[in-house]
Amino acid sequence: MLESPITICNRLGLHARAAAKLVDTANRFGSSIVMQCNGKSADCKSIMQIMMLAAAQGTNAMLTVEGEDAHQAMEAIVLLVNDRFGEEE
Amino acid sequence: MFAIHGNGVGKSIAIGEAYVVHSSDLEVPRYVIEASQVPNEAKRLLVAIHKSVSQLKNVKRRIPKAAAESGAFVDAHIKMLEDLLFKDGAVHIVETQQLNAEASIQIHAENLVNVFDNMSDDYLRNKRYDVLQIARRVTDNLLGVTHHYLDQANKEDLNGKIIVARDLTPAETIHLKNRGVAAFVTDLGGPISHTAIVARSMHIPASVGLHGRTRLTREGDRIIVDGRNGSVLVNPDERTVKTYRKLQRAIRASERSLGKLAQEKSRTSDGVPISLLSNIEQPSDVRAIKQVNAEGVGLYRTEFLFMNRPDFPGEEEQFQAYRKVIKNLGRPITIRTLDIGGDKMLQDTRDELASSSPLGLRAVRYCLRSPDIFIMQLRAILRAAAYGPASILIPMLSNMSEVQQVLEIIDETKENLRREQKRFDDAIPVGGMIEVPAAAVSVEQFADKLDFLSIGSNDLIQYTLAIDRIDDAVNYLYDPIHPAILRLIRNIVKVSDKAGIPVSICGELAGNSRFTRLLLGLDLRIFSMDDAGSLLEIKKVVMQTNVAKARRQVDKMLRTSDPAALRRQLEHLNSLA
Repeated sequence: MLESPITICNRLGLHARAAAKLVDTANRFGSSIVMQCNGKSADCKSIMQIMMLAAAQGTNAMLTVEGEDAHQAMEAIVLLVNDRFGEEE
Repeated sequence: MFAIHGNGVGKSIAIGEAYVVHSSDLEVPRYVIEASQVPNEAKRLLVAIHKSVSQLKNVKRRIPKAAAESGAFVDAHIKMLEDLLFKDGAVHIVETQQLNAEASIQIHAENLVNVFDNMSDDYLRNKRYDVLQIARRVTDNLLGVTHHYLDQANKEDLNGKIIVARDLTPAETIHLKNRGVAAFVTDLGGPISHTAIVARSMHIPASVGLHGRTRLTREGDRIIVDGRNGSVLVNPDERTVKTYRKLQRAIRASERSLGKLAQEKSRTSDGVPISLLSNIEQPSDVRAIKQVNAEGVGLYRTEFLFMNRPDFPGEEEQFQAYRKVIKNLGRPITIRTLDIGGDKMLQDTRDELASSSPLGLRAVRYCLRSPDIFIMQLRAILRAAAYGPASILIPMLSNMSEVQQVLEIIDETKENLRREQKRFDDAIPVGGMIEVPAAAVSVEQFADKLDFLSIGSNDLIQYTLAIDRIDDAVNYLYDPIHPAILRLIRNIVKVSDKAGIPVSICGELAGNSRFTRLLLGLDLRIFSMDDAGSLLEIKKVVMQTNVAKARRQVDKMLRTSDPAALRRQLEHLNSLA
């Protein structure tokens, strides 16, 4: 099991489109990927759960990945988050 | 081909494709099902969700690469529909409450919306609209109808489309701006209803008050809307289309020739200068104002900043918005304080206090009942006014106690800003809308305390003649040349002149060239119209009017009681050389 703290840094936070990209990325892996923040936890493969985290810009979250491709999954998700989900700001 | 007829709005013609909009008050059926029916109902729901997913996948395929943004929205909606939390949650309601699929999906969506509404981040809260939109799509599929919705999530290409709806709410029309919409066709509404005002401000034709006949049109039908007479031609033959295209070209050519008037001085043939202003609803409307070289904005309807969101915009957001408009405009602007209620409801929980009755708790009444909201807006306006010539206009005043309360609140607000050492305009003029007959009759008292007055012609006519502008069955009573209206306006202008304060007229009358000479003859000198596009036409009439002659004819009208004679006198006035 891998764990890593992440910070949502895009201006709009985890809105619908960002959440959709996160789900796309998570679905490429067999591992289970869970994000925890604001006292809630969400399966990164469920867009509704991610959206309901209410993660605005600056939110600190904990990512937990478990499974055979955990390393690759963790790397991909962290990259996506730090790339601000491909958004400009 | 067939024709249907409503009230015409505007002077142009549109030819386009019908885009049928869902009416916001469509009732969703709700009933209890038998236990044995639960599996079937659950299946119905899942089939509708599945169908919604396939529809969206089709939509996504058709989106060009360049519009990746809208593709991402559609993609998010597909994922939400496929999400177990969404699917299972709705099915769970069918199973546990034994409700039909339509009601279940609605309850489930409302629960989800509540979660989003409680989020503290403004942008994330907007996800409520995503949920509502996917739920509506599923509901439509359950009911077997296809409709579009006008909300945040609507990113469809509306260029050249003719919007067909039962009614269009202000919150919906705001999404139609700057998207190339060709015309409106609605069942409800009269010549001064909100839909008509918006059509005018967008400079497009409309036919309103079709009394249910919009159902004769189908999505994608080819439609011609003639704003001059309100006729709507459905699936016209090629010859008819050709004829109307010709007419369209002629109208455009005459508009272009009016364009030359933009740089001309606005004064009558006997040399009286007339101020021609236009009204705006959104910052983007400023462009049209500059295009026709209007002297300024006579009415900035701020309520549109408050629509399509679950909360109130804060002081800083309002300040930024007003300042931006003031700076972009670079000409005088009159900012009207929040006028919600009546036919301008926010359509969410914030409406609890406001009344949808035109005689209810709206406009200044609402503001005085919710001083926090009022003060927040006043602070934003006072601060923004430091960046250019602005004034404050208070809507729907009906007695002097309201005037006193408003002036006291403004003084207090200024005092606080001073203490906080915030930059603001200490000398901002404060004016009142004269639109309630009580205020019109006792206008001396208002003129004594206020810096300027503005006649809200739509409401003044509606209240004086006791006609609800929403109710198109009484539209025939809407008569701007009713002797009562003429006398009230003449009196308001006389009193203002005596008090030495400016008085303007806004509303439909100000932008309707049929009444320009009448208003000039009633001694009005400041006009603020909904449609910046009609400003040059009004200017043309102004330049061709001899005020002294107009005044003599209007004096005659003020002594006339027979409605038919009045109409003849108005025609005569308009035909004077």
